[in-house]
Amino acid sequence: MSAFVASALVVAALAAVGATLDRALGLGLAALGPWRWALGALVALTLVTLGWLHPLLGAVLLGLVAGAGRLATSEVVLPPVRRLAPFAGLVLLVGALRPMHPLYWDEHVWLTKTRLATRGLHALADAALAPSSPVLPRGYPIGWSLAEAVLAALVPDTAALSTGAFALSALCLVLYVALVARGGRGPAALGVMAAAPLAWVHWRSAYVDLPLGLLSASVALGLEQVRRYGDTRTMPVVVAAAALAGAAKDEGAVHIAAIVLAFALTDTLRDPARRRGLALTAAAGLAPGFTWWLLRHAAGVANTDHAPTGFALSAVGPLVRQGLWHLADVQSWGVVPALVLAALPSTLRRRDTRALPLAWLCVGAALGAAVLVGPERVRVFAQQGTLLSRLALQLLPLGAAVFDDALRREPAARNTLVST
Amino acid sequence: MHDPSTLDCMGTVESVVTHGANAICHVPRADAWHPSAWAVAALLGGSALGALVLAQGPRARRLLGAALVLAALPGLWQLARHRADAPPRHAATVATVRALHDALARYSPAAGCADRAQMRCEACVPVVRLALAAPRCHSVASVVIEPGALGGACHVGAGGIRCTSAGRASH
Repeated sequence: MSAFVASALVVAALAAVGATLDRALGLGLAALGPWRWALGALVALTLVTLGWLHPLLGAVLLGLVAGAGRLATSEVVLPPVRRLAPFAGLVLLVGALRPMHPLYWDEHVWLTKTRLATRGLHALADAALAPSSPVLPRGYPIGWSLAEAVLAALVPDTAALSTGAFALSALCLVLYVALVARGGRGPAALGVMAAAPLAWVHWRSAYVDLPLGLLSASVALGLEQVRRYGDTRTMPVVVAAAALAGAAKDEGAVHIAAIVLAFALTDTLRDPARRRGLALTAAAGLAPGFTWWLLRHAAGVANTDHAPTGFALSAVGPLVRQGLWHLADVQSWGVVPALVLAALPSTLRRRDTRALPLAWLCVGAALGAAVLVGPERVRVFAQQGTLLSRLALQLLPLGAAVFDDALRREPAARNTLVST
Repeated sequence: MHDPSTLDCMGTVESVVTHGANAICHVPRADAWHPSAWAVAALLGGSALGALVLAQGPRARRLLGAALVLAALPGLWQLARHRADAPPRHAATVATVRALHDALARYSPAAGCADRAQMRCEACVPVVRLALAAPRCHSVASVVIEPGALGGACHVGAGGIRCTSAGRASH
C-alpha cells in the first residue's frame, strides 16, 4: 500500500506542476475537462524526465510545449464527447489488482534500469554510457526508465518500481481514452483492445510496448483532432506524448516519424496552424532520440541491437510468414487483427477518416522496415517468437481507433462546442 | 510445432517467466512447422468477412461485437485458469520468483556482479540481473544458479552464493 501512496503523491505533485505550467504558459489544458489533471501530470512528468536526461533537452521540450499552446483555437465544432471514464476505471482497476513484483522476462530487464535510476542522479546515464556498460540491452534509450523512477518516488524496491511502471502506463491510458472520447469515438476502441487476450498480459506488466502504442495512438488522435475539427487544445499534451514516446524506445521515434509522414500526406499541410502542429510534433518525437544518440556517440557506446546493417531481402518471406502466424493465434489475439485489417478499406476511402488508417499503415511499414534493415540479432528474436507480437501490441491502440471510425458510417452527429 | 517449454500452456513458473508475455499459450517459432497457408486463409478470410459486415447496418455491427467477444474467450479462459499467472496461482508464482530475487538482493551489496558463466537456469537470468543491479561492479562474486533455482533455496558460503532447486515444491 505504501508504494501506491508514494506514487499517488508523486502524480499529484506532477499534476500541480502541470496546472502551474498551464496557467503560466497558457496551455489551455482546462478545456480538456476532468482529464486535465492527469494530462497535466503527464506533461510535467515528460518535462522532468527529459530534463533529467539532459537539461537542454528539457528546455527544448518546454519551448515546444509552449509553442503548441500558442496554436490558436477560437471556436471549434466537436463531436459529442463520449463518457468513457467508467471503462477506463475498470481497466485501471484490473491493472492495479496484482502483486507488484515483476514476473515476465523483459519486466525484469526494464525494472533493472529503473532500479539503477533510483541509485543516484546520474547513476543510470553513467552506467548506460560506460564503455563496458553493464546496462542491457546496450545503447537503448533510458527515458522510460527515468520516468518510471520518478513515479516510483526514487525507491528501489520492486514494489515501488512496479507501481511506478503501472502509474506511467495508467497515465498513457488516460491520455488515450481522453483523446478517443474527445474525437467522438466510443467504447468500441477500448472493446477491441480488451478483446485481445495478450493485451491484458501486457497491461498487467511493466512491458513498454502497449504504453508506447497508447502514446503513439494518442499523438495520431491529437493530430486528427487538428485535421478534422481544427481543435488544437490537445496539442501541448500531444507534443509531450510524442517526446515521451521518442525517449522511451528506439521504436518511439519511428512511430512519431511515420505518423507525421502520414498526416503530411493528407491535407494537413495546407493550413499554417496545422503545419506548425505537425512540425512541433516531429521535433518533439525526434529530439530525445537525437540527444541520446549524441550522448552515446560522445561516450563511444553503440546500440548494436538496432544499428542498421542493410536490407535483408531473404528475410522478408520468413518474417511475413512468422507475422501472419502470430496474428492468426486466436488464443493471443482473438479476431482483433482480422477486424482491424477489415476496417482499413472503408476508412481509407473516406476523406474525413483517412489519416488514422494511413498512419497505422505507415507505422506498421516503418517497424517492418526497421526489422529488415536492422542487425541479424533482431530477426533472430523475431524468428524465436519474441518480437513480432510486441510490435503488434504497439499497433493495437491505433488500430482500435481505426476500427471505431469504421463502425461509424456517417460522421458523428455534432453539437456546437465552443473551446474557451 | 511450438516451443517445447510452452507446450503446457505456460503452466510452469519457468515458461511464464520466459515466454508469458509473448503469447497466451504457445509461442510460434520459425524453425518448426508454420502453417502459413492456414494463417493467410484465416486472417484474410476473416478480414474480408469483417469488411463485408462493416458495410452492413447496425445489426451486423452487433455481430462483429459478438465475434470479438466469443473469439477472445479461449485466450481469456487460459489466462484465467491454466497459466502459472492465472489469478488463483498468480500470487504463488510471483512469490517463487520473488524468493530468488530477494535472496540475491540481500546478498547484492557485497556481490556487485553476477558471474554469468555459472548461470545454469535460463528463466533465472533476468531475475538475477535485477537483483544484482548496481551502478558499478565492485567485485565479481561467485553466484551459482543451478537449474530449477526458481522456488528453491540459496545458500551463502565462503566463496559466494549458490541457488539450487533444493526444497522446491512441485507445482
